[in-house]
Amino acid sequence: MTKAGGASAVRPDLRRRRKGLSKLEQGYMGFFLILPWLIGFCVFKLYPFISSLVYSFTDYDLFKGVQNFVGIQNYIDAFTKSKNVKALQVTFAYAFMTVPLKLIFALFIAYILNFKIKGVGLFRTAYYVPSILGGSVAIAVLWKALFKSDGVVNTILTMLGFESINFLADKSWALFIICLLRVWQFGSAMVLFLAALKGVPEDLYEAASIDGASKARQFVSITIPLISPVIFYNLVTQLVQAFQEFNGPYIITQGGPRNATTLISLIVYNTAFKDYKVGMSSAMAWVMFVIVMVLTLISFASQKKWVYYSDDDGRG
Amino acid sequence: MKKLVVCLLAVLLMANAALAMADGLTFSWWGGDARHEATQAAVDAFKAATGTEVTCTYSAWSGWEDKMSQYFASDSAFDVNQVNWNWLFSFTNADGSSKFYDINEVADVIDLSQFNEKALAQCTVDGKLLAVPVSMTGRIFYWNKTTFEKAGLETPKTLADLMAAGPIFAEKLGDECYPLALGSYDKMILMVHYLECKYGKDWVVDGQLNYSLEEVEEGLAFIQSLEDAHVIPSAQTLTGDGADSLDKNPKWMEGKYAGIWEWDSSASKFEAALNEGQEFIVGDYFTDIGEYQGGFTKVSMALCIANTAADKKLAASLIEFLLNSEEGARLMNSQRGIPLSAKANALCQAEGLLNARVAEANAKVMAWCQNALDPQFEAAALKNSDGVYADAMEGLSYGDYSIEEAAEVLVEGITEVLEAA
Amino acid sequence: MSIAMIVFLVLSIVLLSMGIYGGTVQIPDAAAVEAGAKMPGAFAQSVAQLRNFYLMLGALVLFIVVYRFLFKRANLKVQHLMSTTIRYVILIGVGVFMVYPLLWMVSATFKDNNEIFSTLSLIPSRPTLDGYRAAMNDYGGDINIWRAMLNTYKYVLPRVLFTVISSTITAYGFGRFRFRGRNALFALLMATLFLPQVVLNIPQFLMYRKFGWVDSPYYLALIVPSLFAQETYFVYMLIQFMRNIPRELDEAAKIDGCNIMQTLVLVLVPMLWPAMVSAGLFQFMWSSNDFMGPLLYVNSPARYPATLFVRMSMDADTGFSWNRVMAVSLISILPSLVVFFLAQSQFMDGVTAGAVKG
Repeated sequence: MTKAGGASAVRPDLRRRRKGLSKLEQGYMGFFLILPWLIGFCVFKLYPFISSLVYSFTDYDLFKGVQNFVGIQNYIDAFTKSKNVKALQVTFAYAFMTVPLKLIFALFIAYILNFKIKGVGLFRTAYYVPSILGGSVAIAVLWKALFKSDGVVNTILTMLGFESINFLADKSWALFIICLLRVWQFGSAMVLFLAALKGVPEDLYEAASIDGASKARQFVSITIPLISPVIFYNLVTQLVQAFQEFNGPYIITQGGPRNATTLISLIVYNTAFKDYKVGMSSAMAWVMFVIVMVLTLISFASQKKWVYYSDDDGRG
Repeated sequence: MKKLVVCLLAVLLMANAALAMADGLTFSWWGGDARHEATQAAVDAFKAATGTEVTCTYSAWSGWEDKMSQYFASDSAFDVNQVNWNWLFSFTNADGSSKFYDINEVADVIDLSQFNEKALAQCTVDGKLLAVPVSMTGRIFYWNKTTFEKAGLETPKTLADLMAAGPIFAEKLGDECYPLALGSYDKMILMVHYLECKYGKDWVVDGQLNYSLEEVEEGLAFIQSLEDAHVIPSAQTLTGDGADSLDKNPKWMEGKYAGIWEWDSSASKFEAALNEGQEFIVGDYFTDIGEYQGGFTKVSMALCIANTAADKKLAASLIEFLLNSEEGARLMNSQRGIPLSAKANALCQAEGLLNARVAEANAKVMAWCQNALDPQFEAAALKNSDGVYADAMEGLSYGDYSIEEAAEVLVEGITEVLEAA
Repeated sequence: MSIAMIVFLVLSIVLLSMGIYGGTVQIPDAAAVEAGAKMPGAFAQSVAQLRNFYLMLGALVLFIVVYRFLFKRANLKVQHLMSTTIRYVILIGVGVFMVYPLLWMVSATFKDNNEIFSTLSLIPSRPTLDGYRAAMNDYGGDINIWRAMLNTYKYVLPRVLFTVISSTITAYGFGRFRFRGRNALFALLMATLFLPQVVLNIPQFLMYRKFGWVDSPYYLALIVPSLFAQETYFVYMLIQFMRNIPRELDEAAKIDGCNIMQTLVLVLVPMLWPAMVSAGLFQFMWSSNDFMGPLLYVNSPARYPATLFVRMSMDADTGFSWNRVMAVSLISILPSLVVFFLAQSQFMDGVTAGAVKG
């Protein structure tokens, strides 16, 4: 971006603007350059991807290997066994709680930071640190210390005169604190929003002010459409990530209480490595993959309705 | 920036140079600090005696089972492994062959005559001895005598005592104090113990659950009555404590939970976890549950040789050293429970090496428990943290299941596992 | 106006602190605990809670009412001042929410175990290094926190290096060349951006098991894929960056007689350098935090990286002391923190590079 743009200023003699872009290099060289990626893709992505699909139709056992082809039995189990159904529900609840919360929060804070606030850098840093560390085991451990029944949060609650809450053992609270851990990492989304907000031309707001549009109106009619590509990008990446959350529930709640925080990624791990049922586990993973894919496709399809790109080559 | 890259490379090279492969044997186990130290000492003695390098890998229990299953599944297990009894049945190949080497093949190295037939039989699958049993164990009560004294009580001798203690704890020590604390698996074992004391018959016979739905309901009603009478904390309370296991729970360490129902072989870590000034004692079995002496004993752990071990004789000699030799027996004493090996046991008794508490508990367990245990009792699908036992017990405590529903969950889940086996 | 403002602020502070004070006197003291759950006590407590709740709610309502009343018709300057104040209050409030847990963590490492959960103060009343002393514990003679840290960087650093190099080359291929099947392959590349790792985990595990990469002393399962530019995000980020480098530069280099690799190294890399540094930094953070990878592919405690070590340290000792666990956790994230503070601006640029075109 800015740095690359600045580069052309470094060697202005090379900057011979022509109409249209110059052509890409032709020939096989490009193919050779991407060959390592392609090999890696086939070995580390495509092969596992397809074998996972194949396993999902078998009774693959971690020790015993494949013994039978079981057809769609694993998929039937995925949608009928109460444990699996519960994991699907919980994962949806998790994704639909964290993604909007995180995005709204990130946008809200970015919006405030975008007023000429002194110490933007300081705030931005403070908000960004959790995003850097949030995925680590250390933070999951910290979260447990914060929310156990005599933990920090409950100490605060009792000080304020409220009754303490058994966060780890209550089915809805437990999921909520797992969500909160992710919302706490809103920094990366915020930094993106902030950059996008800075890109909105000032004169648009001025023009709107003159026309008598309120701040809220300006936000809805000018800001949102102009930063919609970033909202879209954040939405899709956060959605994909939310469906893969593992560390939080694994360390903080072990999927409990009563499987209230057993997200799909956790049940996939447990089924494969605790119950040794690789086939079943693959089926669950595939169910998840299809869900993520459908949601992503829906997002992309909806793009036309609400995402405005300033130029016509979009992103994809 | 180029300097940075050079530095990175340098660090890399150094890091890789520091990695060196070790020769000799590899040996793995789980346990607490005391067991680690004792075993390490025994391994050093083996090294001194035979000149064989032994690379040890050890850890605490939680997560270890997953790791070991990955090791065995990926055929990268250590040469000698401390194994849990049920692994002998779950770690098998597609053709039914085991991941473990048949110890009978190295019977010339390991003196199997030191072990009693019953224990060896428990480790034998299809005529193959998959591991050498180290000790036998069973569940028994342990009490924090200090806490009971604070409540003005004797430690319970009968079920009636225990039930009476619940409300007294609540009244005298506060709502968060309980005379006993049970996790889901503890509850399950205690329930089976209760039923076996009452009816005398084994839990599972010939691959069939030997108790009717009504009887299981009775057992669950007993567990529920403990919670209702403030004898044990609810599942919510235990979860909220935020501890992975009872011995890591501050409320146990501080004496707010004053009793456990534990394996005699692993109770010492609970004792070690207690804060200073608290007296930890072995309890007695309750005589007022029923007319039988119920409950089961099982091989607590065993040492196996992985099929992938390069030198099986050498591996066997390590096992022989640890379990049967004088020096090994002295160093290991009761760190893995009261030794089954007759020689080791006699030596430890003669020299007074056994932990008095472990010996006392083990003697009580062996004298009391008369029922047999089916290996599927510990099947992963049942005893895992998201398994059938936890589902029934937590569901009951959370109020998700009525006693009838919980009983159905248990019976159906167990039957499914037994049929699959 | 300024007088009204002061009155208003003082009033709201008084009201708010009343709410909080009303709460603190209700903390059950030792006597109350001993009395157990006697009905009157419990009743009084719930009444107190209700009162506190309404007090705080009332304070908030009052705050809003007074705010509107006082400043609705105030001049622009005051309005501006007020909204700025509110913004700062929100920002600082959120900042506390973000940072307090981390600060608490730091302070907990210096507290003794009795103090950790009994006070909210960030300053230990009896500072102790016990937590750190215990954090140095050796487990099994072959793993402690320092070795675990070293283990972490044994695979993190190669991964960073390989990822940056392989991703740059791949981005170069896609960004600057046209060849048969380029569009299809590019679509594939982008599709992997949305491919959940969870789907791949198990077959990858089985495959690496066959390769003998599980529990490899060289962390092959964690390092090798990075040689093949398998972290699509970075490839994507670099392609986006490259789009903004004028192609005329390549052409000029070609005219000057550079071959393709020379063009990449001599012309593009200097331009791409900030993006490459960002990619490296992100890979550094993500790999250091990675838990699932080591959980699957590292088995021997001697080879445990910091993430697994932290998990193990919660369990491995007799009993449980939070100051030790917190100290271990803090040490494990310290390098990441230091790197972040040293290279903040690259991070911020890097985040935006992937998503927003310049």
